[in-house]
Amino acid sequence: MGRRSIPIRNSNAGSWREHLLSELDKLEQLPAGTDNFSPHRPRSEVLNFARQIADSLKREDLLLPLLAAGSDGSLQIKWQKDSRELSFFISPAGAEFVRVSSSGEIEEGPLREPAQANELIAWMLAAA
Amino acid sequence: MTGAVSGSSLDDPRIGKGEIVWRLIPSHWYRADPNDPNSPRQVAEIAFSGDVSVLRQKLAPEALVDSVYNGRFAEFGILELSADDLRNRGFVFEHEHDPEWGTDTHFLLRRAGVDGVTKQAKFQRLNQTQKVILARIANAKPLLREPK
Repeated sequence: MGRRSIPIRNSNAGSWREHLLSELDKLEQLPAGTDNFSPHRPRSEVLNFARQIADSLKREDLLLPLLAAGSDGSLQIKWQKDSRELSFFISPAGAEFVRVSSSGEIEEGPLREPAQANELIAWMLAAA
Repeated sequence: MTGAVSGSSLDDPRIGKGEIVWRLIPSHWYRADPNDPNSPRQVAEIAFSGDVSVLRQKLAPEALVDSVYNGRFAEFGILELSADDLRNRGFVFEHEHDPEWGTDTHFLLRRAGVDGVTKQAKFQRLNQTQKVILARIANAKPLLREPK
């Protein structure tokens, strides 16, 4: 494993949103498929829900999220801040969040609407 | 969430004690922090969504991985997982025959749950917490083989 360098703070307001939307566009270009071994194009309702999260979030000072597609038409949006992690898993069956605290505790729950992401982002950004 | 049950009644005994299973990892699931492209790549939790195929190492040598499905997995990474460790953490194995891999080679990593109607034990897909746990295991040591 290489040495981890210090992340570059995202100083360009709004760029995380552009990044997220751009990454969703890339995921939309993935091939459709059914095997269990590789990522596939997320379903349209999944992509739409992810775009609604981007529209709903009020904070502009976020780092860039990681986006990746699952083998089952789902996708993950993941932010990390210091030792905290927040992921949204969006699938055709619904959306859920997972947050990992600084102590490593894992909590998951339903993400009932895109705007709920704001309170979860606030948790991630709060001082440890 | 459906309650977890002891996996012993569902877990497939064909995967024996001390065995190693492989999860194939394409580059899409092995990524650097987008804020720091030079950071070490890590396995993302989404690598364990849906039906999570694993292969028994002793029946699926690297040469087989590279040749099945017309070489489709030749550029995939290989994550080694201890079957004992997975079982100790509550995961179970479900056999899914795939003739391309040969007999008793291809399994799905599952959670043991209870059917809401029949109350019978049944295999379920992994929950989000289990995906986080698997990503932790995956990133605790280097992959056996990194994806290209």
